[in-house]
Amino acid sequence: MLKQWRYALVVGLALTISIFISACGSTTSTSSTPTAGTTSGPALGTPGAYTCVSGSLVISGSTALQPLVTKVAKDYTTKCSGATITVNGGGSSTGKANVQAGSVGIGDSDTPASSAQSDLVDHQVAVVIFGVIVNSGAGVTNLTTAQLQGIYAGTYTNWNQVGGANLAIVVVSRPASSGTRATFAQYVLGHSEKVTGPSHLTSDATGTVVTEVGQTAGAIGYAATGQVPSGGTAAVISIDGTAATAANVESNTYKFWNIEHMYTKGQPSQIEQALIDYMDSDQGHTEEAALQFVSLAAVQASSITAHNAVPAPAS
Amino acid sequence: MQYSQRGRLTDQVARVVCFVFAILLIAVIVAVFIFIGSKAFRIFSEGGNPRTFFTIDNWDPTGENDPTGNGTPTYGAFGLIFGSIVITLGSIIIVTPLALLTAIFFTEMAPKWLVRFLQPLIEIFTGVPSIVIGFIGLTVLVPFLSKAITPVAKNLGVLGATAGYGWGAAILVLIVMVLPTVLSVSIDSLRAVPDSVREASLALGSTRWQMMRKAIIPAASTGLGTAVVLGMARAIGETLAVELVLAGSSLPAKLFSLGALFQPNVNVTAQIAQDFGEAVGTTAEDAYWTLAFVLLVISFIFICLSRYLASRSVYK
Repeated sequence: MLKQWRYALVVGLALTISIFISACGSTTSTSSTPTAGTTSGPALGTPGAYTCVSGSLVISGSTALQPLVTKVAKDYTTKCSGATITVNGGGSSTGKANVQAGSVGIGDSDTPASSAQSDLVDHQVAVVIFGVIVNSGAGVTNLTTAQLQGIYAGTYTNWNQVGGANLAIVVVSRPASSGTRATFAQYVLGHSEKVTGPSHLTSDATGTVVTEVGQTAGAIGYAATGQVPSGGTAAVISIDGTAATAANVESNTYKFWNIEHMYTKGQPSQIEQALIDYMDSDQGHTEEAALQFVSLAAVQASSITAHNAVPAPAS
Repeated sequence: MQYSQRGRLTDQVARVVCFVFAILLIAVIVAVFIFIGSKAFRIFSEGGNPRTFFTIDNWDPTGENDPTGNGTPTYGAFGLIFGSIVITLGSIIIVTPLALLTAIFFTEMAPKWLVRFLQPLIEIFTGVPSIVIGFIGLTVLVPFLSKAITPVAKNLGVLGATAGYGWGAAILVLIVMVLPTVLSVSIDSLRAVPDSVREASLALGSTRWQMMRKAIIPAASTGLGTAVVLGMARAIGETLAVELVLAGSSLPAKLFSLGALFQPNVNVTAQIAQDFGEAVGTTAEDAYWTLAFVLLVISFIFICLSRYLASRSVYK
């Protein structure tokens, strides 16, 4: 009897202590301060070079950029065993809000930070090609800007009004926190989406948009083209007769693309800088191409300037 | 003599340890309530109208859909709250009789080997992550429902292609998630009824069914009530699975029709999950705290109600 109580006491005390320790520990471990110094590696700036920094890093934000960052982070942590990198989604606004709040080290975003977030440092890492995706049953492979505007304003409700099958249009949107949605409104529609009711679905991530468009008859949505499987029931269509290809983005004839940002709060820490540099390495560029991203250098500087000059629509 | 003294000492220590742990737990619970409560009423001093908050269905904290174009936010959570209540009650109304009858089968009728085989299965099911069930719901249940409803979509006044989304799918998903919990607790509470109750009832000449209905269920009613409460608490707080199959942005036009079950719809938790991250740091954040508080209050009301019903036991 006595022994049992002793055990209970010891276990109880151990539990209490561990609760306190873990509670204190979590506050420090969520922020991404690297713990150890830099191990020697090739110097920065040379192609194919990378610096190994041990430590842990949490990234959140854009679900369009997420596959690329996940892949690059995986490559990096394979080469540098001391680093742990966690990549989460959440949407562009979530990423920027999280990095500003200090809960993550890097916030990914499809859209620039607002003027209220002036303490965020911008690292432009790639160009993402978005595509309007349509369920194969709709029978369209191209839509004009005017037709898209009509669909997203709720004027067109059936595909036969835009030259497709006799099928009701179902609009699959992302929530307001999405950078893809903001890019679509800014560079394609010129106004915000206005469809509600039974012909409107909202989906939290790029991947589920593709799933929903693929399985819903007459559905239309938008997603990063790298995440749309070819040959599926959801296919990327052309806008104004221009296909969503890297070449058309580089010449800015295709409008639906954006610059991917990785934001840090203030100057990046060593591990943050190392990962951002690694995005720009040869290995990073290979991953970019594989996931249908375009490297920033490939896009004409004038296109990037022109693209950034388009004002956001008044919501 | 020494032993009894030590015994008293360990008793004291045990009492103190238990007391400290209980206080810790209660402190955490109270702190959560105070924290959310302290943030819940801010929105009403920042442009939120407490009267329309609960009566209109227009949740637009970013002002994106403001018809005047000024971007004035509107906080009308009626649709969200209504949605949460509908899917919680809808699922629990179906789950309760199902779980009760299955639990009776398990404790009173089923052969032992079957129970030994099935009960671990059910208990494992209580721990299936909600995102897994949600994704099955999105990729299997939603297309199936759409196909099933499409022939009668016109009669219901809904769109066939999106008929799979909405309260109907959410209720079905919640049934799968809540049933194992309710069933497990129901089985335990029926099993806890002493055999003397069964024997006394049978000795008085009742049939097996009379014994179950008039003796065992009333004796176990408090436990059964707890089972339903736990189920409801899980249903109302369920987020990911429900968000995937609701996929809507506003309430349906005709609320009290069968068609309302089969079109994209809203609830509180899905809205919080989708937009809270973005709202952090803005006025809208406070509106989401209010929603969280409302959710707490609703589940509190549900729990009080069920406790009251369960307390009217014949064994009091």
